[in-house]
Amino acid sequence: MKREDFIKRGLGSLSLFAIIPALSSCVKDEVVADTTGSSTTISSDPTTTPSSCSVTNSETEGPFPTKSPATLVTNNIVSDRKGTPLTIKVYIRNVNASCAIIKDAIVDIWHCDAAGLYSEYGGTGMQSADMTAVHFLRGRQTTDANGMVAWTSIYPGWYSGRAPHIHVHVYNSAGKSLLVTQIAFPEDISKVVYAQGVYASHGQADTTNARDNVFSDGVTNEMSTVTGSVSAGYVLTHTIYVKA
Amino acid sequence: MKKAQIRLAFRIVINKDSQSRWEKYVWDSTYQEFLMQSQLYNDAENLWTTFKQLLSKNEKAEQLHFLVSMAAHPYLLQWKGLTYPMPDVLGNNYLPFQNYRLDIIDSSVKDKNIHEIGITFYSPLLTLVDIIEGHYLVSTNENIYEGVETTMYKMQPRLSIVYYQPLE
Repeated sequence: MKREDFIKRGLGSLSLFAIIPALSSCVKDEVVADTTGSSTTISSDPTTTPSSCSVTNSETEGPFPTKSPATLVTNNIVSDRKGTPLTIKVYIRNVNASCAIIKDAIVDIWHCDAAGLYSEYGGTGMQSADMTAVHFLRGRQTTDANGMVAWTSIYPGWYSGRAPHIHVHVYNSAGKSLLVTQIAFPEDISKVVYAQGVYASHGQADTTNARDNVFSDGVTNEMSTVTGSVSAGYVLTHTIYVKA
Repeated sequence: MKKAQIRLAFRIVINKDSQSRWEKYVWDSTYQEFLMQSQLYNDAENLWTTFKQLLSKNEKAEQLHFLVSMAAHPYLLQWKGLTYPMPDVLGNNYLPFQNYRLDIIDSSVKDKNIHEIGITFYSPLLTLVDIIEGHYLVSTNENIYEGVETTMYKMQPRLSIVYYQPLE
């Protein structure tokens, strides 16, 4: 029930005994939420002047809204996930322009957490997770003057049937898709990471790069350079070539 | 009436006719995101125009509900846990929400006017004390056998009880 409805009922009842008839008479001019959530009085013909009226409620606006970039546009994509720190640096270069770097390309990345899970809506029904942590380990950045984008994340875990990897979607500055690809990890480093911390209980990856159905056709172009240590964290560097 | 622990859910629909500034921002932002992310599932050679077509050709496009929600997320955070389109009967208190879920009703890479989404807000657990004249009388307090503060929400379209556990 909206405020004006309530007031109407209050005015309609001059004594306590009059409340009941007042309530039932209000059913006809019920206020209901329409598809946009704003309120509309059911009056079929808009050209007919109603016998009484009140100001349309303004509550639906909520607080003053400010234009915000998508949640994706954040440097730190760790959210509530635990794991060994990983800095991800990706360079984008153009095959169609003598391999020059591309400025202002939009780059999306996403990868799984230490247990091998992606952020997504699970099954049907309602979300039970804390809403602020729903979109973990997904990020979007625009390449700088050096053609680079960077994120703070954690070393991805693994799931059955796939070698460890990061997904990448590269767009031009207008949002047109240029390439969907994946980044592979050096196996010696993954072995060290998966033997410790939150990764240890999940064990070692069950699929090598050579046996992976995405990387097996030649992992060279998709293999990243990873430096660092478990204690200091790792830095991944990788160059992706697109036709722009 | 049997007392119960309940969770209320309220769903709004945002489309080309939406009026508030917040809704327009969400509409614009989620459409832009749909255009970008749908390319993951579309066929560049043989472009599927609408979301429903895309879904029928590639069931992985189901992911777009979640992916597109990322564009709405900052606007949901601006509401700081209050479902503004769902005031109580006083009109100046709002149904609290803990979570939300975005669904794409339909969209089109060719026509923005087709773009239509739903957002369902989920309340924390509430105690349903009674139902009075088409209103849910609820309390955030679980111990309702002494005097407790309550609030009332009118039964209406798109307001649903989505969790129910009877109390003693």
